[in-house]
Amino acid sequence: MRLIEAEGKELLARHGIAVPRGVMLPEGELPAGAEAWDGMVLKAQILEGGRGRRGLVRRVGPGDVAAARTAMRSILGPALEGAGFLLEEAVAPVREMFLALRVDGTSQGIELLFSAAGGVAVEEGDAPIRLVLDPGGLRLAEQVHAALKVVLPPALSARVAREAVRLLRVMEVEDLTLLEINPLAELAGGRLVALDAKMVRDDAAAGRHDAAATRASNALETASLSPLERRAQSAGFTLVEMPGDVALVSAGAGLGMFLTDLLADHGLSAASFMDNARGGPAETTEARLEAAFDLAERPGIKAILFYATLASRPVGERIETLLSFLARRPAPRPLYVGFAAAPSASRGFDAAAAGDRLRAAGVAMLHDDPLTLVRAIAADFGQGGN
Amino acid sequence: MLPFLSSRPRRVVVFNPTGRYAARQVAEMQAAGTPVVAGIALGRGGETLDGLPLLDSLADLDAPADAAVLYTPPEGTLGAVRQCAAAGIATIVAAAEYVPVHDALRAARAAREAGSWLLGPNTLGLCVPGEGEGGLLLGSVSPAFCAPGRVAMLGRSGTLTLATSRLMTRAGIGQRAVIHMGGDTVIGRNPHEWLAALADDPGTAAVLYCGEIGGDKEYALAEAIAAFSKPVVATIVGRHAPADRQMGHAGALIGAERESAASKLAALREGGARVAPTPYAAIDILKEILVP
Repeated sequence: MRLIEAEGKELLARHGIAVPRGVMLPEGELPAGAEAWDGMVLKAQILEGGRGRRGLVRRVGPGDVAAARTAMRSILGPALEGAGFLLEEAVAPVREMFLALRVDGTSQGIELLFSAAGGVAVEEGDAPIRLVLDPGGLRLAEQVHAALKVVLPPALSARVAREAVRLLRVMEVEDLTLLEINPLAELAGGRLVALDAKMVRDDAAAGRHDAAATRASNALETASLSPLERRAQSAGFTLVEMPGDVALVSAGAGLGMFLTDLLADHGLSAASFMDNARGGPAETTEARLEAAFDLAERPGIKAILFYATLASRPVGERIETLLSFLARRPAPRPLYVGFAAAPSASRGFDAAAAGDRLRAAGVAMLHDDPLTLVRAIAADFGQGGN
Repeated sequence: MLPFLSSRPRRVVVFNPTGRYAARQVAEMQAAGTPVVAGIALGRGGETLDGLPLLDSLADLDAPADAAVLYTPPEGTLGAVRQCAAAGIATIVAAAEYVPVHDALRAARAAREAGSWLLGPNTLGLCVPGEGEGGLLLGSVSPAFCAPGRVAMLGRSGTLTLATSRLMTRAGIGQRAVIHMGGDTVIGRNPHEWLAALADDPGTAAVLYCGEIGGDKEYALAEAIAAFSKPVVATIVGRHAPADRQMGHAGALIGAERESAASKLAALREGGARVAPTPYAAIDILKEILVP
């Protein structure tokens, strides 16, 4: 889950990382004490980057906060009407830097990226310094310092190195896969302050953390889903809607992408991708069919493809689910079905009889080879391909 | 050399074998001839599961195990991997999906430091097809989808590994081993390490790599191909996946062009692999390569 800046900064502050004073702006009023600040910055709280360029980060005075917020609301539009606003004390950096930490699966460590020129300059400047850190390693700060002192004065390099190690520990404790501070500001006097924060929390570790602390981020993530995707999330599986003409029901990420590719190679395109979701029930076939049939009722959808590979789960159960579903809700478009079932999944199962019943229930084609099924759909709908 | 290829495991333990799914996999492994000697199930010590002795702890084993299959839930996977690594178990299969990534980093490190080969997290395990008692199943890669042969298959996705092994077998191409390395961002060993470990395996004539979008593991693999003397065939699924959408697996997301199927396939081709747009096309290439 991506975190909005305000919730990310609250997280940093809980770990003793310096951030500017700020509050989520209540409707229609300025927070107490804010008028004494040296200056103010109003920042729309959305998950996407590039806010500055879009006019969603602005210096404001006490008298023009409301107008700035109204202007930002109009930029955000109705899709982001749930977004909040962070009002922060403006600070005056003497230097802006870029510091990011990310989980690097290939090196099996934490990759640090650093640029001595942060803020918007990071995109136009030299490539950042990259360094892979072993979180269990000794002398991490020394390792970072050795890399940064090439581009920073030694005293500042040492301070940034120590800050980087603190942030790495925050990353571990908070189960973050990405922690980016841009800009990381050096103030007069040498203090380091995180002026912005971009974070991604590992969904697999969500249960370890207080959901209330990331409520706004979660609401924005959910709002970014289509109604059908949200329904799938509630039912315990993942659905990605795509502009396509074949409603695809599958299980397993790789198999789903394989089928998506095969459809595209034959002049068709998948309108959906499905996979299991963390914490979902073991069996979601019926909910997946419901979603696919809803999709299939839309104009432009030509067919439904249902395919599953079963190594040990009984294929009979899956077919009975499909048959009972079809008895309740006939397929709105031609339905192509495939199962690749190992003998252990088919034990005691009469495949020929099941095939007859599926055909009687209106299944256009039953075959265990994905390519044969896709070719049949392409042939039935006049598409070419490989 | 991979431990389970250089010496067939003789004593396999299964952690948390009593759940519905796990019990079914234990039965499959036993039916495939895998020598499962005990299940580790805290609180069930002294009981049996369809004849399999259950122990409270790995420490209760009367002799060391040489392979472990973990059906431990995600939150316990790190601890179970650490136990197995500390016990010197050479091959560890961590099945659980949704293991927190920082746990996976620690688990991978613990296994590596102990010299163990960790598959997963988020893996169906592996199958070494063999005649009669010669085969090995550690996990859920159905032996019925496999056949003995000379191609080592390395997969990132479980369902695609199953589907592709089945298609290979149907096409008459047998496998030295079918290995589901794991679908997560952090897995015990990366593809380039698996490739290097297959270099000295006399039973491997070629490698089929089935990858997917997201991450950058294929770039390290591409660099490793030059030092590998046997043919490598590679395919990447997700050529038509939308950018910036997570396609199931944690990490299966095109966040940058480098993570797309096209870029990965180009890098693998540049590195010396024969690349194919689909598993079907990859199998056609393998047929050419394996002509006697």
